[in-house]
Amino acid sequence: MIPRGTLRNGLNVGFATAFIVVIGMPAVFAERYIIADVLSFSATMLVAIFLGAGFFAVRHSAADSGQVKLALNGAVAAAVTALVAIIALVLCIQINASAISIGMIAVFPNVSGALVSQLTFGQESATAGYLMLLATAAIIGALGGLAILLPKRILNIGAVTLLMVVVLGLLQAQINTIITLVDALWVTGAVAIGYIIATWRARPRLAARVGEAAVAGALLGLLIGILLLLLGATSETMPALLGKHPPALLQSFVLGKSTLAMLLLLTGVSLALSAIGATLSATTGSIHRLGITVLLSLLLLGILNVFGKLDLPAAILITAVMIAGQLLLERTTRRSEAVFTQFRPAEQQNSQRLVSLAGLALALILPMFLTGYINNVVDLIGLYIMMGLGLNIVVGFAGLLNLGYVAFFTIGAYTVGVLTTPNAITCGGVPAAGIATQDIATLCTGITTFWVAWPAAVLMAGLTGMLLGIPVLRLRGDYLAIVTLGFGEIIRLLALSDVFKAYLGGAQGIVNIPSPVIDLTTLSEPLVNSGVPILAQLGTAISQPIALSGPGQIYYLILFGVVVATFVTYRLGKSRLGRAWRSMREDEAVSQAMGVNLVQNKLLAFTIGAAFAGIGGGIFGSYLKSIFPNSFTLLVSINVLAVVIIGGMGNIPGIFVGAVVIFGLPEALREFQEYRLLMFGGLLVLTMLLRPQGLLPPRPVRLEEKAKAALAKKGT
Amino acid sequence: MAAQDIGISPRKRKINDWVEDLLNDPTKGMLVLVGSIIVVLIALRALGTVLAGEYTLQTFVRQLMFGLAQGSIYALIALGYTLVYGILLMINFAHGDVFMSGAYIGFFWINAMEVTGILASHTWLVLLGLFAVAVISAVTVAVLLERLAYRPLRQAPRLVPLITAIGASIFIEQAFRGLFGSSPQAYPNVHLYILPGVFSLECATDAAGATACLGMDIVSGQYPVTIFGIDLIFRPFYLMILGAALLLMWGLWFIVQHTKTGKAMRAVAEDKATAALMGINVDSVIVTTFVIGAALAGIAGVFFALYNRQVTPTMGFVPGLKAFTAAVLGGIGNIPGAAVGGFFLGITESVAPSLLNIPTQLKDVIAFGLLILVLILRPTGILGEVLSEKKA
Repeated sequence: MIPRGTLRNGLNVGFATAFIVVIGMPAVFAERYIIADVLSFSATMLVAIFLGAGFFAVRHSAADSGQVKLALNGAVAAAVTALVAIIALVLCIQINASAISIGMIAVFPNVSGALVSQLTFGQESATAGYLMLLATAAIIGALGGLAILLPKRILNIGAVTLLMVVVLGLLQAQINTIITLVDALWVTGAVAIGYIIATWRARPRLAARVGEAAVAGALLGLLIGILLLLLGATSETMPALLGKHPPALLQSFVLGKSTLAMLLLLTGVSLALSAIGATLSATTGSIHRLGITVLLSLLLLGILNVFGKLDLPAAILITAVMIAGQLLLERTTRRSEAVFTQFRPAEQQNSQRLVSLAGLALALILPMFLTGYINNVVDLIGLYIMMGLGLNIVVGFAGLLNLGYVAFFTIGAYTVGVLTTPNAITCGGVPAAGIATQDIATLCTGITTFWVAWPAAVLMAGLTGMLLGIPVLRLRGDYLAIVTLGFGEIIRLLALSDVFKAYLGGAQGIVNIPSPVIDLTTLSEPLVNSGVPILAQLGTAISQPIALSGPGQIYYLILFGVVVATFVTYRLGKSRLGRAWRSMREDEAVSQAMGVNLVQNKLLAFTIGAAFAGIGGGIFGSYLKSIFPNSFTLLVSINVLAVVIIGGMGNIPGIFVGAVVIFGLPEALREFQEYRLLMFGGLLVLTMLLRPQGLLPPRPVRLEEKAKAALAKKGT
Repeated sequence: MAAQDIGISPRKRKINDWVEDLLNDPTKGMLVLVGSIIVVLIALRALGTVLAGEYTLQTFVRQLMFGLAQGSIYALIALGYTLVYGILLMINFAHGDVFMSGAYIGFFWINAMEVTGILASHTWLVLLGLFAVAVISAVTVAVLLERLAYRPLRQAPRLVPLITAIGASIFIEQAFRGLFGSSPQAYPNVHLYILPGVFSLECATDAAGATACLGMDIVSGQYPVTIFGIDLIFRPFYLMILGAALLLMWGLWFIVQHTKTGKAMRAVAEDKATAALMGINVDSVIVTTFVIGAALAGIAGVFFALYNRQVTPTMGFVPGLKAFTAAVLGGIGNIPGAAVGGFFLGITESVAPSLLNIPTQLKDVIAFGLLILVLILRPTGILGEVLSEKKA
């Protein structure tokens, strides 16, 4: 009656669950609430496991098998899962007890009373608690089994919605101040107006669509502004009425200056937003989905801001908005894509450019909305994106496994550190007699500024990559992995050693690395004297050197690096060189026969990849202000590799997703740090087993199909 | 091969080919030149230290003894790498963690025996049990690893299993950390006395004035001896490790060369598809390979732990890496090569820092530098690799 597959499924999931339980995850995540005071993350985790156990147990059952049978199978699978976990838990408790009774320390230190009470709903009697857990598992598993009857699109919508709620819940404390509901409504409203106008007028050309929408948007902005003025707002209260944002930077230009400036700002921003809306109404499926999802997230963040935390009403509201949004998305994506395909190629390109521009604008204002901590996380994600893009060239394009990628990052960081930091040498020789460390910074400056040291760092990293590449690139792929790994360790050990202590600081590393300073003071005076008010204002703003010290400021440096790296990767991927790399990756012998110079192309990939790491490393040094050899362990290489592999080898958006998913999330959550490496290891293995191409694999370019499509178009 | 080469001995012909190869490929020639210059410089530096009298015979013999013991452990782990590489052509990156898991689980056994006092009363049995526990744990981990992570990927492109192995390595480390905690576990100080009648060591005089000797402590004992006028500290444990390693290696060689299983292993290494057609169960041969490698690693883990007296979840990483280096040094896929590479690396690591007057901090730099140097000068390793033509 119960198929063996169900039992096996239950057992497999059960072993995994038992492992999660015995390493103490439920206890660690007990205090992290998804829905305030209602649903903790550990409970969510267990519910998800039981649902999944039930669902996957019946996945291959025939759709016509009865509801009772599906529910039963799901229930059995989930109950078996729970049973295995309970048996493992009890066994571990017994082992611990007997170990302690003979005088050993506990074998499984993470199996604690807190863990047991977490799993037994705090029941007095553990047996009763375990029975309750079993029963709960069976009920949830039955639901999971029945879920298979739902249509696939409903399941997808449900899964995405639940995932979104969980992510919002996990991050609620950090993200609830990002945007106010008023702002979110204004932004989504302005975009929606543009979108609706463009769809309603249904003009076939891009310029007409965007133009009309922009006019509408401008009118909307003007209307809001006038309305606010009529309601008695002044130039000073107007931004406040619009919520907290547009924040500091924009406010400093307009706040209290004149009502006209405020009006212009409102009109301009609304115009831009509506233009974006019009562009979104006719674009490729993935961009359309991304754009709408961003807007939807803004709305959700606004809702979260009103509630302050994700409590039950907020969760219900957010779920409703999410479902509505996705239903809408489903209906509109195809239409948007249809209009897009009607565009002329030049228009398609322009549309893409508009989207990129909007993305860049969003990236530029992003740090103003984020708090310091989240800004730090964003910076880190940026650094990993940069390195991921570099490693992507080496691993994803050229198929060379480089496990010593951290070496080039280290070289970049140390180059900037050594060149910009005031040290004993620049203070008059080694050893600097009688100069205390804290005085060094005041007595002298570094050898050069960041702006010289940064390119030098990139150059150094690239050069080292080339020098290492010449001997090792002749080796077989897996030898290369080990040699590069060894090289990464060599670089770290050299930085750590006493031999170079005078220059690299040994284990103490380099401290007091100065922040990059933008010094435009020479331009200040002519601007102030120019007589034009705005220029004069700009002149005063740069009369002092601007130090990029905080995470929100260094962000722009990282953004610059990411944009450059993305652009270079994108162009390289499409170039002759990129094609040579990919052919090499697929089959060395064949590509050699086609005239690809293997060693030269490999060397180029290796060198460019290393230079990217140098860009990141250079920023890293002056961002953290101090670098230690032990921040540059093999783990950094593994992290970057995980970003590339899990995100999707050879694909730029994949790298972004990879960095955000596996770096952003754990970094933002204290409890995750403990299990981060475990997660990486497991994810690497699972990715390779289940989805070797990664989360977002590159779409293969089939010239053949392209040519066919072009011919077909010509024919009509 | 040119016509005039006929009649030249094969060895000489090989050298001729090599020279010709170098002349045809200028970059390679340059690399070999640079490599040779580095080797000469190292030799000169060593000579300088010796001539300056900073390096004595005594230091050398002491370091040699330690190097041999260390090398034995490297060699035992390296055999696991080389066996798997020979058959599957993949670096079993997680092999270092298999080594760790043997020693780590073994800790619980020996700790339980210590606190219950059995260790002191039945040392022999407990140590035998320790080896058994370590071997069983290491084998279990290795078999699970093969079954769950590697087997589904046997047909995948080569980068895929390698990345899987890296992921598996991290996962095993972190799983141990999650299960058993991250603090290091201390192995007890084991004393195993033998031959009290032969060696008058560890003697104690009791109240009655009678002298009783325990004999030689072959695990923790350290005895100053003078051989040929050189003062040495003799550690019987080094000899134990060396002896056990040589014995195991001979055993492995015997299995591979003279048993049916060994024949099957060689056949699978040569060509999996044909071997399957000959009625060999390829899957079970591969599992056997993993089992043998893991058993050797488990034994090496116990020696390592008894010597270093502590185990951590990450202890497998560096020895694993060194052992792979050793396997490559000796020639991957080559069983005697792994042994030679292990001893070579162990001795170099222990002798080189003071011989070349380099801080001991840079010991690992020497090991990895050696790897790069060997791969430049002789990519096939000291004894040459043994891989089937079409796969390499």
